[in-house]
Amino acid sequence: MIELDGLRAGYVKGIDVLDGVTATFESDRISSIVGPNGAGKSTLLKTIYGFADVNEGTITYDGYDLTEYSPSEMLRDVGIAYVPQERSVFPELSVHENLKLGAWTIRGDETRTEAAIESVYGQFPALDEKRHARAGTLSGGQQRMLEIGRSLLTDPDIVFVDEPSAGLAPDLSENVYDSIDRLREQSVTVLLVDQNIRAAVEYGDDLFIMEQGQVVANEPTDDMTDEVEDLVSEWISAKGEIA
Amino acid sequence: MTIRTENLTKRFGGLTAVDQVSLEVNDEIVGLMGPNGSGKSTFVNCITGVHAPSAGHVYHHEEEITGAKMYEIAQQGVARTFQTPHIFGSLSVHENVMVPLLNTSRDRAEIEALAAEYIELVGLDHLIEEEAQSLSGGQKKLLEFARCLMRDPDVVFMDEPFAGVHAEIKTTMNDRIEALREDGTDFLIVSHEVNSLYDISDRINVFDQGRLIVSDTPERVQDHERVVEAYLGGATE
Amino acid sequence: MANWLVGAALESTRNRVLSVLAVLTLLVLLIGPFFRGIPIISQSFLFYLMFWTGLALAINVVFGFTGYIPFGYFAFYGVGSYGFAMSYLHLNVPLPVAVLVGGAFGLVTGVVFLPMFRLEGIYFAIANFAGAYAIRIAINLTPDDLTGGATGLELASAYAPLQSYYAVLVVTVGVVLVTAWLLRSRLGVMLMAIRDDPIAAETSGINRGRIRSYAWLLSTVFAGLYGAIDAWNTAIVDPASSFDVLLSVKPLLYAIFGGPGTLLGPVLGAGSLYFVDTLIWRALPLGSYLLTGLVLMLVVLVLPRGIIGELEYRKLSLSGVADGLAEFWNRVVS
Repeated sequence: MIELDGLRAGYVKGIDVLDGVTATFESDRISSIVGPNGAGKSTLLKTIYGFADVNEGTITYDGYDLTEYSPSEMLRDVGIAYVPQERSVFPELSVHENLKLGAWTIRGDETRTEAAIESVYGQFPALDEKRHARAGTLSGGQQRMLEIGRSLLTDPDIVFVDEPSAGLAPDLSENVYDSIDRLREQSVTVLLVDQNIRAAVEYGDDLFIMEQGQVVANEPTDDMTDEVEDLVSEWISAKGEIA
Repeated sequence: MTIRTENLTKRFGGLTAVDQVSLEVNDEIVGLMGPNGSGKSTFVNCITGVHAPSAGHVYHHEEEITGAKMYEIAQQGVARTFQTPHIFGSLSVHENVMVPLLNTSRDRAEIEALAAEYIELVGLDHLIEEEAQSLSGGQKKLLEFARCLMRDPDVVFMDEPFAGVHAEIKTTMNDRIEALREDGTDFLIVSHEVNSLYDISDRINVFDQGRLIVSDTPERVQDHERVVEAYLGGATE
Repeated sequence: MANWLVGAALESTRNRVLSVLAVLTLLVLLIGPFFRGIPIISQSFLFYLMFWTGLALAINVVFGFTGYIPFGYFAFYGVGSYGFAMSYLHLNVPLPVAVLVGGAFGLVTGVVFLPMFRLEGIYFAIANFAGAYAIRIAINLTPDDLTGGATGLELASAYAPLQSYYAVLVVTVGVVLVTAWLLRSRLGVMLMAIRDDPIAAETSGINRGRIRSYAWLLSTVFAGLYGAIDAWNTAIVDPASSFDVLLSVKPLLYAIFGGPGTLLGPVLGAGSLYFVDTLIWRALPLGSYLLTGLVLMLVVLVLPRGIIGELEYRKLSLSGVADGLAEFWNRVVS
């Protein structure tokens, strides 16, 4: 499991986007992180992965001090993959070439690379059909699946996914969430940041609620299904009187 | 009717970012909110000339400005600020604010004086000769705001003016916006910070997936079921 | 105009010192042709010193102020030289008027190239070069009695080195004054604004295309004038030498080396590099190319902002200069 203690972090010196985060993400479960805009959800994933500076606090995983690792080391040495919010396929390259690049850190071992890529095609038949198509011609949902598939090539123990369904129509989203669901079956731990709270509760095992740079609540999702509506109402309501 | 859109639509490839939005801004401060990706910024971009709409119309005082160039729209009195402030880094604060009037026939001394006034208005007068690049993020937002007022616009579109700024800067901006509203300038403000929006807006529009779903007073918007739905994200089918 | 100039000159210690130096330089240049016996500093040397400095300043108006790289700049020099030659030979206009015709040819050709500004960065540079080269080839195909075709035109009767010397002096003083004016004028501020942030400029109501075109045409007019005066000085125009790509590369290099977007930069860059170039040429005729390559590497590795740019960045103080030299040494050594 990943443990955070009193984590303060940000992109610019002197400004902490994460304002003392303490949380434990259990292994082999899907942890959904939700919260209003600006709460720091994306920043949390980025900070753990090494894309933002830690000003105070600790991040540990099974004895590793994660603050010691650069992002490329996270994939190669620690075994954590990251699917960012922004589009990250290489649009001019084919699906197959995109996947080969995802296996960069194991490229020396051809057998393993090929087996890993075939395994991804097995899990994502849609990608198998489009092996040689330019990645830029795929639909948004297919590109997202490509990104997730690509992240699995090095057989990571943990996958971070930032906004799996952002910008996707509901029918495409379902495919993406199904593929995330299957990850749990393979004993991959998933940390998910999602603004689609319903989906986060439906597919996640544990819910983490962030507000203003802190984790303010942490419940199994089964306990939360009825309460999310109240939660959201509270987020969009004015605190105090309207002038 | 200062600004009126009619079935404004913007498509990027297969994605419809703005879906037949018809709304008005007239004698008021209008707030615009909605979940991420609901099309708020794209909508503002379509009105201010950053994008040309795929379909629909935009009217400024009932004159069509649909698809006009950014500088033409700016020259006609429609001003805007950006989520990440766009400023001229190598110029001084003073020069930054002067720029919008430099290609008019107004006297240089007059432009300098007017710019100094606006700089004082937003509280940046102690930095007036500093290179704009050295300002903090919040100060750059104030700078951009001062600059966009130089042409005396009748409507100002602001995209996330409160994001990532200190409380004092927020207060300054709020005060200025209210004062300008009293002088007759209309505003449309896009913001995730719903509290700030409720305080300042006369009316709130809520977007979800490119569509305008609710247009009502701040009090009623908060309790509106459809709005809660939008932020919940809906089920995945 | 004169008031403004004097005002600017007296504005600060730095400006006063530079103005005095400028006036002294002008005096030296005025009596230049009458020096005898000073090694290297011949009339021809001074002519080309002004020539390259002027071209560096003129190309700086586009490159330094708008950020576009006009690799086809030699075209405007070229059409200027042909405009001069043809109006003199075929229409018998007085030589100074023929120079102005050269400038006009530069202007008109500049207008023709305007649509290229829709392209960005490297695409603009390539299109610019291609267009310029096309003109060079087109001249080969024109009637011999009009342009001399591939062999060019000979202007022996126009040859008057003293007159062309003072002509280049006048034009160079002109381009210096124009650059100084541009740096403080509304047009200059708008150009720098467009360069800093094109979107902010557009939202401020600036028609980027139109404002940029003013800088562009100013630049091409000067190239045309220089082309004409050089034709006057050498009494020959032909496609190869009038459309030599070095006429784009050298001014750009001098401007970049000295510090683009400033007045002092191109002057310093052109002055120093031309001087070194001359010294090398005496020892090693093809050394010009070697020098160009070396300087290019030097600039990219060590002085990305140019000399003046680096100095300004470190605030032009003595300690700043010392720090700068130290860092320069570190970078070269490491």
